[in-house]
Formats: sequence, C-alpha cells, structure tokens
Amino acid sequence: MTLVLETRDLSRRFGGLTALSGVSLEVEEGSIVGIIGPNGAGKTTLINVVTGFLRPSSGRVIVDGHDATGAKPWEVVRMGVARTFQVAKPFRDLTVRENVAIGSMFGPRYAGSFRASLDRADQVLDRVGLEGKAGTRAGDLTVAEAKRLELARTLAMGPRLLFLDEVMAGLRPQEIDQAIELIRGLRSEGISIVAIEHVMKAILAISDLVVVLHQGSELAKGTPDEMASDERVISAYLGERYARRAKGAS
Amino acid sequence: MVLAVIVGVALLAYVVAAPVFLLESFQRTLGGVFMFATLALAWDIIGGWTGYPSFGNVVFFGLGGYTVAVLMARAGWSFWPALPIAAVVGAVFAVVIGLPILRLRGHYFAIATLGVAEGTRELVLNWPSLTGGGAGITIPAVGTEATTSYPGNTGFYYLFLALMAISLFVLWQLSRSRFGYALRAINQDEDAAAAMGIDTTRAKVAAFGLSGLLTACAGAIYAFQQVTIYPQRLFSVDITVLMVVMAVIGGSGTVIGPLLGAVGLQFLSEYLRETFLDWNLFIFGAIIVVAVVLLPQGVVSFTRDAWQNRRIALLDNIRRYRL
Repeated sequence: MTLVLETRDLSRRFGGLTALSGVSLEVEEGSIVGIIGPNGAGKTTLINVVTGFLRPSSGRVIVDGHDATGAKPWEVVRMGVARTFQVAKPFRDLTVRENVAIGSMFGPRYAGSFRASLDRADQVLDRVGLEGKAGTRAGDLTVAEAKRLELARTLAMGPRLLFLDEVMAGLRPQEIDQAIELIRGLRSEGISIVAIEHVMKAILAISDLVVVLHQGSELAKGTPDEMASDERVISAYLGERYARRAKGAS
Repeated sequence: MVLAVIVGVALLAYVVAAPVFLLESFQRTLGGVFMFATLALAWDIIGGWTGYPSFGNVVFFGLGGYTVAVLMARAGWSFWPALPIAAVVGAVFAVVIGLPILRLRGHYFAIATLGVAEGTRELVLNWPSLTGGGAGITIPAVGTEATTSYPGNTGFYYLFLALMAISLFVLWQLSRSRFGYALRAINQDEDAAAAMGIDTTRAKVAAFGLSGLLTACAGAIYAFQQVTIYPQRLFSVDITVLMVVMAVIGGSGTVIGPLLGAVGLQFLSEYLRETFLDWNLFIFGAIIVVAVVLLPQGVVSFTRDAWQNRRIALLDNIRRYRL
C-alpha cells in the first residue's frame, strides 16, 4: 500500500509551548483519515506544518516518498497537496469564477492556458453547487457559500491529497449529508483526504482511520467505532454523555 | 466598447502627430506628463496590483538617471547603449533589495523603501569622484564633447511617449495573464495565494523588478533631458509622493488609472500654479486630501462601479464619514 503522506515524529514548539509532539501519521493512498481532538490539540498546527506554513521544530514530512520537510507552501502544492482554511480566505475583490480559476492556474495540474483555467473553473463550480454565483464578487458570499468556494478552489488544483480543516462547521444536517456525499465522491476519484472535524457524525461516516490528538500528541488511533468507544478518547474529548447516547443508539 | 476603441485610436493619432502643430513648450509639458504617467504606471505594478506600497520608487528613477549620466560624462558613452544599462541597473537593484524588503508588509514595507531611497541619495551625494556629489554631474550634450546628438523637445516628447506606451502595454498584459492574477491574489490574501501554489516570493520580486526597470528608464531619459542633474532632484521624495498620488487617485490596480491620474494632476498643478501664485501648493494638497477621502478607490474604479453596478461610491463614502 503506498503512503501518500507520512509524518515521522513531527514536533513544533512555540517558545515554551509544545503544539505538536512526536506525531507520526500515515495516510494510505485513496483513504480518508479523520483527525479529532479538543481545541488546542494541535490539529490545525499539524496541517500548517505539513503544508509548509510553519517549519517543524523536529521530525520529517514525506509526501509520496519525497521529503517535504520545511518546504514552502507552493512547493508542497506542486507535490500534489492542497488544504482549506478553517476560516475561509477568499480573494474578496475577485469573482467566484476567478477565485476557482486561480486554483487551476497554479495548482499541480495547470490547465495549460489562462482561458482553459477559467473554463475548468465553471465545471468545478457546478460540482459544489456554486454555478449560479460564478460572477459574484467573492467577498459578497454568505459564510456557507464561502466554505464551498474554499473547497472548490482546492478541487480546481487537482490535488492527490486534500486537507479539510473543519469544513462541516456551521452546516445544517442536510448540508452535512451533502458534504459527506461530496467527500466520498472525491475519494472514489482517487483523492486521499485528511479531515479535521468536530462533527462526529461526519467523522464516523467517512473515515477509514481516525486519529485522536490531545495536547499535541497522538492519544489513540483506530477505526471510527473503536475510537468512539475508547475510554481515553471519551474522557479527553467526547464526554460521557456522548458515549452513553452512542451506546444507546446502537 | 467600439466607442472606446475609436476614442483610443483618435487619441493615439493625435498624440503621435502632435509635435507637428504644438508649441515646443507644450511638447515639453506633455513630455513631462508622459514621464509621470510612466512613473505612476510602474509604481502601480508593485503598489496597486501586488499591494506593496513602495514609498521609495524614486530610488530607481535616480539610479537610472545617474547610470546614464555617469556612463556618458565619465566614460564617454553614447545615450543609446547607456539606456538599457540603466534599465538593467534598475531591475537588478529592485531584485537585490526586494528579496529582504518584500518580507515586510504594509506600512513597514513603505518605510523600508523610503529608507532605501533616502540612503541611496546620501550615498550618491557623498561620492563626488563618481557622481559629482552635491554639485551635480553634467552630461556632455553639446559641441564636440557630445557623444549623442541632443534630441530636443520633440525628441524627448517621443522618447517619453514610447516609454509610456511600453508601460501601458505591460499593464495591459498584466490584466490578461497568470502573472497578473498571481499579483492580485497576493494583494487580496498572501497566505491563501501561497496555499494555491503561487510562488509569492518570486512573483513579488518580479513585480518589484519590473517596476524598477520602467522607473529607471524614465530617470535615464530625464537625466539626458536635464543635462545637469543633482541628487536632491533625482532622488526627491516629492517625485515619489506624486507618482503614488497619481496612481491612487487615478485608480490603482487598473490599467489606465495611473495614466489618468498623471494627466489630471499634472494639468491641475500647472493650472493652479498659473492661477494661484501663492496658494497653489496648498490648494493642490487640499484637493489631494479630499480626493483620497471621498474617492479612495480612484477615478477609474469609481467610474466602473457607477456604470456597472449603479453604485455611487461617493455617496457611500460621504455617508461613512458623516460629512
């Protein structure tokens, strides 16, 4: 089984604060890994270190067998990795179409011409349901639409590995179901996904493997069901009430 | 759209044919307008498009001018080979100082570039053996010493016109290229731009280099026109302020905005100078302040907004400041 991503003993310190401590993660090609944990556990820091926005204090990052430790964000993109931001960062004064087109202009699968990028953008917009807003100024979108734009931009880049940082936050149940379908669709196209989430319903539904982070290090990892009933995970993150409710439901 | 093309072609024809029927003094004035348009357009590449407001672009102007002056006065070069050398000096200097300085953002970048310009002026001032220092340097332009025949008012009119045309072409290309989108993305959100695969370091440095190259060419032609140049003039912060104001009021981040700003402000300042002998600078400054407060996005963006979205930003701005 090929590993599309491997981190080896990855650590990141900010002065006296250790945000990440010895995280060794393996993402098999074509799988979906869910990362859960309380706030401050180091989940977003992990994304930032792997995708080049922060340098690791120690440890290594290996993408598709190539060493990506300390690479710049655009170099990591060229290796086939894309990420969304927890709080969407659209290019506000550009149109939705232009936002997405930029993804296919500079991503690992450049469409070949400027015009082709703009055309490809429309296809991606159809996929996430934003085709009606193609000409709208990105800064004028609602928060939910901005999240979809965030995802569309990464899709336009044609990544092999996609980091989703809390894409379900703030979605209604119906929208969560749609998002789950979309993510499953991406996996069937061969895109590997690492999803940071607090919405347990989604994590349980999509993940092949769940990793639990707590205070910067890996607390536990296993299948979704194993993690949902793991004592340590319940006490550190899920809570007794959730465990009881989950047990009652099954 | 067709109307715009017709107007454009008519203006182009007028501008190219103008020296035939215009007074030499007016040609000189227009030459100055074209020069400032070039400066504003070049500034806009790094300031308006990329969002890194350089307050030291005059350093390229001065370096371009002094490169030509030194090569012609000290080494006996002709102007024509000296001009591209000046362009290269501008571009290389921009890349060399850009690499460290473009790590700074916003106000810090502005201050750093201002410091570079001031520092370079002092360097030129204190190197009399090469640059003539405060006494200036004179290009041999007449008589047997002259290495190049002096172009005269009409010649410089066409030189500045050509440079401005090149600058407009560069900006036009930006508006329809990947590089232009990279700069705009960096301006909007540099982290998001990097996350989408844009090599932000290379793009910023390239933009700064391009800006420096065009500005240096303007300085080179200016130096030849003036014949004798001084550091206080070639590295004057006034020139920086003017090019920034012209680009911003005309419309930064657009193609013709800086050109309109240059034309408008040059003629405005000429008119004010003739009409209000004592108060012209004060009034000029006041107009600039009012324009920036009420029309921060510039004339071109304001017009486009009003036309397309029926949105009169002027009224929004007045409401916002409770005037």
